[in-house]
Formats: sequence, C-alpha cells, structure tokens
Amino acid sequence: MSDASIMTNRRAKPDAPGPEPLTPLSMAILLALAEGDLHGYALLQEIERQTEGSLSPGTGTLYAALQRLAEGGMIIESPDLPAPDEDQRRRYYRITSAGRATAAAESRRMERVLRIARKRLATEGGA
Amino acid sequence: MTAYRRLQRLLPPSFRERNGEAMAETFETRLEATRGRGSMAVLALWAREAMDLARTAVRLRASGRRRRDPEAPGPEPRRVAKPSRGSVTGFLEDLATDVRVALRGLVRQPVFAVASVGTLALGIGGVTALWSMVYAVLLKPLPYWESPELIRVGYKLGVVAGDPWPSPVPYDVFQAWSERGRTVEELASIRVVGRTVEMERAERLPVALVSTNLLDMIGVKPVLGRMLLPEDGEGGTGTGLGSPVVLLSHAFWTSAYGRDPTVVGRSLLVAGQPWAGQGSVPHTIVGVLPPDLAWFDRPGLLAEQPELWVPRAHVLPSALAGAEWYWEADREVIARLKPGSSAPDVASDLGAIRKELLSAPAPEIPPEAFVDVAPVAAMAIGSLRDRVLLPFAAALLVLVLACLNVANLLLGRLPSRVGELSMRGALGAARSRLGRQLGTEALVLAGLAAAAGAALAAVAVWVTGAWAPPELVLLRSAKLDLVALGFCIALATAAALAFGLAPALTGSRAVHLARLRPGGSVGARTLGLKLRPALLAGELAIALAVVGSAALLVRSFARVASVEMGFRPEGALVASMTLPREGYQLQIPPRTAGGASGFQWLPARLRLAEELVERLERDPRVAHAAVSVRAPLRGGWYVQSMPVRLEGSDRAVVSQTWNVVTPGWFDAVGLPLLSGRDFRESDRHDWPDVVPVPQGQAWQGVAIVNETLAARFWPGEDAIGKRLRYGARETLEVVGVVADDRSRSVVGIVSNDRSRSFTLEPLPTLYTPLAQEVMPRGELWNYSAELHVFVRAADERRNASLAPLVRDAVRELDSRVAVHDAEPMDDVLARERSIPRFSLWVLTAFGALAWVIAAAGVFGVLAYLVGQRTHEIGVRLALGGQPGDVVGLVVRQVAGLAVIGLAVGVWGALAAGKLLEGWLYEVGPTDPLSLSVAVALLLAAAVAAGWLPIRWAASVDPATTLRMDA
Repeated sequence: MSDASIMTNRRAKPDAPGPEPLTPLSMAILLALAEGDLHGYALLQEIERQTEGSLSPGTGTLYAALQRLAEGGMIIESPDLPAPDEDQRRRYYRITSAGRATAAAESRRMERVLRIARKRLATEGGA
Repeated sequence: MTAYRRLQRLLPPSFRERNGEAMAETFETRLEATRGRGSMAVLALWAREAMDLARTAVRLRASGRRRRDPEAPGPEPRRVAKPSRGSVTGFLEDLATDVRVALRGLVRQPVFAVASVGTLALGIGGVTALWSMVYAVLLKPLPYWESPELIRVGYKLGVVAGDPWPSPVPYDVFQAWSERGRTVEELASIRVVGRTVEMERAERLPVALVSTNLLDMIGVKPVLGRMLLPEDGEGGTGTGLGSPVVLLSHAFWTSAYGRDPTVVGRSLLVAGQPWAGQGSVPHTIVGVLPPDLAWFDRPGLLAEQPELWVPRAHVLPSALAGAEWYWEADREVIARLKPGSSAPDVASDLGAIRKELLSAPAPEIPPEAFVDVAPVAAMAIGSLRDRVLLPFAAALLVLVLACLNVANLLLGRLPSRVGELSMRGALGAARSRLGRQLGTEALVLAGLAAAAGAALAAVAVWVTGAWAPPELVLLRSAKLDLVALGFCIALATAAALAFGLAPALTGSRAVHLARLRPGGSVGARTLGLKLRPALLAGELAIALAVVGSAALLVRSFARVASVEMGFRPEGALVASMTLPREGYQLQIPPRTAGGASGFQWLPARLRLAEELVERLERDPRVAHAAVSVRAPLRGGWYVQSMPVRLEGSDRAVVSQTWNVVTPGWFDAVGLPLLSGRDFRESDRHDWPDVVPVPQGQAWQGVAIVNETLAARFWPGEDAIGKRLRYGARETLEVVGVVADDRSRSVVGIVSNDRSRSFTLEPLPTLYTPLAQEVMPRGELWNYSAELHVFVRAADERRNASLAPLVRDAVRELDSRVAVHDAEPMDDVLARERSIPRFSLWVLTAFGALAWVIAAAGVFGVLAYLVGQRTHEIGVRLALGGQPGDVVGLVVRQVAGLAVIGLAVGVWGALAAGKLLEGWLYEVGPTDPLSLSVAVALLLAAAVAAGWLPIRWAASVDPATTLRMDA
C-alpha cells in the first residue's frame, strides 16, 4: 500500500508478506465508486449488490469508512451539487487516482490469494 | 427525522458536523425504501441503525484517542491478539490474555460451555471412577495369592453332571493328596467358619482354620510376634494336640486391642472344636498378621474377612479317625505346583487319587472331572471380572461419546470462529499467534473438564466405597486411580485440541477467501456441515448402543435380583439360639464308642425345640413357629458332601444340602409344599433317652425333597412314596415335595467358570424331621450348637415385634440358651440382595451417564444448528412465516439425523447384545423391550434436548436477526 494512512491502525507485522489488505468495506466502497460518483444511499445499494448482500453496513459505519478513506486521500467529496429535484443534503463521492491504485493493488493481492486458494482448496472450485 | 438526529448526538461533534446531514439523508432514503416491506422491516432497520450509530460512535471516539480503525467490525479491540514479543514476559502476558479470552468466550456462550465442559467432565469422571474400581478389583495384584504357582484345588462333587458348585475337600482326600500327589510341592488348607469369641461380650466372628504351613507357603510375614509352627495344633481338651494358639488379623488387632503392641502372649477365649464338644478355650495370641492379607473363599469376593486365624491340625485328630462325614474337616485346598507341572497336570494327578478313593468305581469318568483347579487369584476375582469389564467397556464408549460431543460442539463454533479469525488475521495477527490462541482455548476447555471430572471421579469412588456391600472387599478399597485419570484427561485434551484447532487449519486458508464469499465463511461452514450431522448421528448411535446394553444388563440383573426365592421371607422373624453343652450333648467316650468318639445330641434338644414351638404358637400374634438346624439366608447352608442315593440303585446326587426341621417349618418360612404332606408329630424315632444308639441298626424315616432333587431322581414322576438312602444306614420315604429354596442361588449367580455363565440351578435339598434326627456314632453331622427359630407373625407387618417374645420364651424354657441375631427376615433379605442391587445400581448409573451425555450432545448441536439458522429463521418470520413452520423446519432436520443415528445405534445395540449374551439371565440379546426402552429414552432425550433450541427458533426476533447482517 502506497498510502500508509489507511494502515494507520494496522500493526506492523514482521512476517506479513507484501502489502497490507484493505478492509472489505473499504474495498467495496472503492470498487463501487470506480464506475462513477455515488451518494450515500446509492453506495449502500451498490455495496449490497456487489457483495450479494453479505456486506450491508449501517449508515454510521458507512460514513465513518467514507471519512477514513477521504482522510487517506482515496476519495473526495464530489464538487458537483445535487440535482435540483434531489434532497439538497445529499453528497456525492468520487474516487481519486490514489484510490484506484490502492484498489488495484488490493485486487492483485486478492488474486494471489485466490491462486493459492484454488490450488490448495480444490474442492472449493476456486469460486 | 428528529429521532435519528438525536441519535447522532452520540457521534463525535466533528464527525457529526461533517457528515450528519448526509447521513440523515441516506438514512431517510433507506427508511423510505424499507417502508414497502412492512412495519417489522422498518422496526428492524431502526434497531439496526441505532445500534450501528452507537457502535460507530464508540469506535470513532476510541480512534480519536487511540487512532483505531473506525471501520473494523467484528471483534472488540481487546480481543485482537497481540504480536508475540518473543520474551518470556511477553509469552506469559499473551498466555494470560489467551486464557482470559478463552474463559470469557466460555462465559459468553454458556450453552456451549456447559454442554462441552459438562459432558467431557462426565466422561472423564465416570470412566476414571470405573477404571479405579476395575483396577482395585481386577488388576491390582492380590497380595500373597498372586503367584501362578499357587492354585486352588476344589473338590468337584459333581460326578453327577450339571453340578455347578465346586466344593471344599473332605479330610480323607486332602490327606491322600498330601501323601501321594506327585505334581504338587506342598498342600495347605484353609476354611473360614463362625466361632464365638468372648471378649467383653460373646461375639461370633469369622475365624480362618488354616493348616500350619499355609501362611509360610504364601509368604506372609507377621507384623508382630510369629507365624504358625508345625507343632501348633488344633489344641483343646481331649485332642492331645498341644496348647491352642491364635493369630490376630490386623483389623481385629486394631478394633479389639487398639494396636496394642503388647498383645502377643495374652490369651483370648475362642470357642473350641465343636466335634470335641468344647466350650470356650483360652487361645494364646502368638502374632498379628499384616493388613493386606485377605482371603476369598467364595468367588466374586463375597467373603467375610477372617478376624482370627487358628491353626488346624494337618493330620486328622485320632479322635475323629472313624468319622466318615465330618464336614468341618472339609477345607479349601491351596497347592503349590512342583516346578514343571501345570494346573491340568494337577487336575489329572489329584483327580486320579480321588477317583481311587471312591467307594463306587466310575471307570468312564476321566480323573480331571473330579477336581476343580484354578489359580487362587482367579478364584478370588471370579466372575466379578465379567461384571466390571462390561461397565468398563461401556465407560470407554461413554468417553468416546463425550469426546465426539466436544468435537461436535467445537465444529459447531467453527463458522463463527472462522469469521472472527479471518478478521483478526486481516488485522495483523500472525497465524501462529492465532493457532496458539485456539490451542489455549482448547486447553482451557479440557482443563476445566479435567478438574470437574477429577472431582466427580473422586466423589464417585468415595461414594462407591462407602455404599458397596461389605462383602465386596476389594471394591470398598478402591482408590481414585491417577493413571486412569491421566489417560482420560489426555484423551479428552487430545480431542479438544484436535477439534479446537480445526478453525486454525481451515480458518487460516479460508481467511482471505472468506470475505469474497457471500455468507463470509463458506469453506469452514462446509466442513462443519459435512462432519457434524455425521458426528451427531454417530453420537446417537453410540449412546443407543450403550444405553441399550445397559438396559439389557439392568433387565437381566433385575431378573436375577427378583428371582423368586421360592419362599416368602417377608413377614417372618428369624432368631438363632446356641445351646450349652451341658444337658444337651452327650460326650461319647472313646472306649464305649469302639474307637470313634464324638458327641451326640440328647433328646433334650428336641424337647427344647418342640416346647418352644408350642409356646410360641400359643401366642395370638404368631401364625406359625418352627425350628430348624440350618437357616436360609443365614449361612451355614453348605453343600453336603454326603450322597443321597436312590434305594436299590447306584444313582446318587452327591452335592446337595440338607436341613432338619420341625413340623410347620415350611409354613413359617413360606416355602410352598407342592405335593404330599408336611412332617407330622408322629414322624419321630423313639430314641431311648440314654445313648448310644445301637450301631448297625437300620432306620426308617421320612423326608421331604425339593423340586430339583425330585427332578434329578424321578423326572416326570411322582416322588411321593419313593425311597432314598442317606448316610450309611438310613432309609427315607419321601412324603412331600416343596418348592426350591433359591436363596442360595441368588448369591450363587457368580460362577468362576465363564463357560457356564449364569446358572441359577438351585441345589438339590433334602429335609428331614428334627424328631427323626439320626445320630449314630461317628456320623457327626449337625453338631452345630445352633438352632434357628422361625416365627411368622399373624400380622406380617409386625414381625419385628416378635423378637422379645422369642427371647422370653427361650429364657423361660432354659435361661442358659443364648438367643441372638433375632431379626425380621426382611432385613436378612435386604442384606442378601445388596450385592445384586449394587450391580444394578452401577449399571443404571452407567446407562444414565451415557444418556445424559447423549442428550447434552443433541442439545448442544441443536442449539448451534438453530443458532446458525437464526438469520434464515428471522427472515422467514419477518416474511410472514409462522413459528410452527419454523419449528417444523428444525424438527425435520433433527428428526432426520435422529433416525439415521438411531438406526445405526439399533444395529450397534444388537451387536452389543450378541456380545453380552453370556451374561444375560432370562433376557434375550435382542430383547425387544430393552431395545425399545433404550430407543424411547434416547428419543425422549433428543426431544427434551431439542425443545429449548426449537423454542428459541420459534421465538427468534426478526429485528434482531436482521440486524446481525450489518
């Protein structure tokens, strides 16, 4: 991970191979935003869709994660204002290039994990 | 949406300022989208969001102070394993943390904790306790008797086939063996008899009459004083055999003398030889025996331990030279093998000698058939081996059951653990560190179970020792076996570790996969789902096999215990009286007796008995009264070594018992007369008041036989009017047939020959009237100074109150006659049945243990199944599913498993029944009742154990379960 701030709370691990993994929620947010800017509720829906319902954070958890990612420079609040017919309190989020790089790094790491898993857990069919 | 805004106040102000508006908007949109799904869903969302806000608030505030990751869901920060620091302190700190976490985990999951720790403890405790008993009874070397060179040579009286009773050896055979046996180095003898000992008061104690070489032969060293010397003889007046001596058992030394070291050289009044007509004779105490010396003259350890050890002449006193049947001269024979000879050699050698001594030659019978040869240790253990090994096998199965149970419960935790461990792995915990955490948890679990199990075992052994019938000497001495405890704990710990570490194995691989999969932890769940139903079914199967076997044995033992005694002791009272010599016995001087001396009962004995009966029967409280020479259930009921012959035929029943009774005795003890008549007043010999009875005269008398004796001689025929010959000169006409007195058989279920298994064959029994007692010279039977009074109360509940009546009546007749041991026959009976009852109790306890463990297993598994499906159930309920459907869902799943498990278990129980066949009495190995009871019990356990989890399932709060998705 190039951006160490995400990992602020991770303990340094002497035997950890390679970059630190992202939390599932952070990863899901980054992936959701990779297709385009989204507001809070849309993000929630997209995350649930992406993870087939296994990840369904509460509103508080979502915003805490968003703030954490924003502080880490992975996302920013979109400067675009809500459409006139929308609730004006609504805010859109946009992924930064650092965020894309982090998500890409994370998916590479996951691929490695998957490869190993496919090899070792033959019964799982690697799915 | 003021409510949500109010909740937001929980959040740190900076966060609220920045995100509050947007969050409220998102929440409202979400709420709007949920409204369509009903009020329950709205409520659920509210609850979930409120919880989420609170959690987020806590995390944000915490990270504000400690820079924690606010988005980490899952485990609380304190559960995150710290990295090992490599130092001892670090290790210890980690260990303490792990133990704390493990304990907290158990407290947080009380169902799991109780089910796993509890059943494991039951398994450890039960198996250890039983093993301790097995060790004490079977495996602990028997002091002194253990040597393979020491064999017991029994006298197989059963030349008639089917005689299950090995018997002591008569004097003449013993002497011939000593002189002519080629295969034995040395022969010694022992016989335990009751003798009156006069201390402050007269007391009847078990006394071992031993040949003077016995104690040296088996290597006993005295605690005090000396052992016996060859010149120590039977002693006593008129025997010319030196001055009488006695050795004290350690127990008697302790109880009577308080371990007084100066006891050697003092004198003790012990009743002398009955055949010599002696009263109490002062015996000089020459030594004290070690505490571990024990003797078992009946198989199955059902032995009274001798308090005193008195020498018996190795050679028959000349006074008895002409006595053909002197039963107290019979003895248990212990032989030491010559080097190179074996037990079968001894059987043919000594058997051949006995065969030569037979008056009627029996060339067709091989010599081995005449003697019973077995290592002494095997005799002591007898078939108790069978009794204890079976419960032990059951115990092992129960231990396996407990381990399976724990495995099952640990696997049940797997899915949730994998989720947690993945998270912790993701948070940076090293795999080795997590493994250690899991190991610690398993060890904590096993440790708690071990502590509880050890306590349980200690209590069980203590209770068993305190409650076991006094006859089960070795069982009473059982101590908690630490090796067994160690073994059980090791096995339990291994099981806990193996299955406790499973999440580490699956978990560490699934750790990253898990989060990609819907449901989070599918890999682990698959493992659990595949294994656990199999384990549950296996548990039920094993439990059924154990419970089924226990049910079979319990039923069999219940049968044995409830075997009709043949008579009805309840409601009767028995009292024993000891007659003084003077006025009742006539000493026969050697010269008038033509070489044979002894004593004879005077007619005064008969008169005393008859007057007593008359007096008692006058009392309105008494329904029947009678006197006998021997008493059922009271000992002294030995196998007679005098054959009963069929007149005019060679056919004989060699081992039988004999009682001499007054008319009405069968009514008094409640032994039903099956055909013919009871004895009458007129069945009497007209004995002259002055003896001796002329020798050589043939006597006619009457007899009553029991069913078994009648069946031996006259199968399918009417026995009435048939004639028997008993002893040398007596012809008896059978006037009646009575039911078998099976009271001896009940104790006799213990046979030391496995191949025979249970035979409850009652002994052939002969009854003759007291008024026709034949006492010609030299035939010294019934020399016992005791008579037994039986009184049946008119109101049978008041039989105990008749004791003073008997005492007063006897005192009025002759104040010198001592009445002792007056007690209701019910009490005697209860004592007699204590041993079968004890076995029954042990077996029942075992079945119950298996049952409880199985129930706990089912309960634990079900609780987890329901727990795992809480979400699904919640959704179903939220979508309008009825609690009944949900219950049906769980019940169907459980019923499927139960059916599979029980089907396998029925097969197992049937197989176990086959193995048990040899130990079953009047119960088939496939006894449908036992099996159905076992199946019903387990089904009931499954239903009872499933009830609570199923209730939980039905009462799942959809709101709660939906919230768990967060």
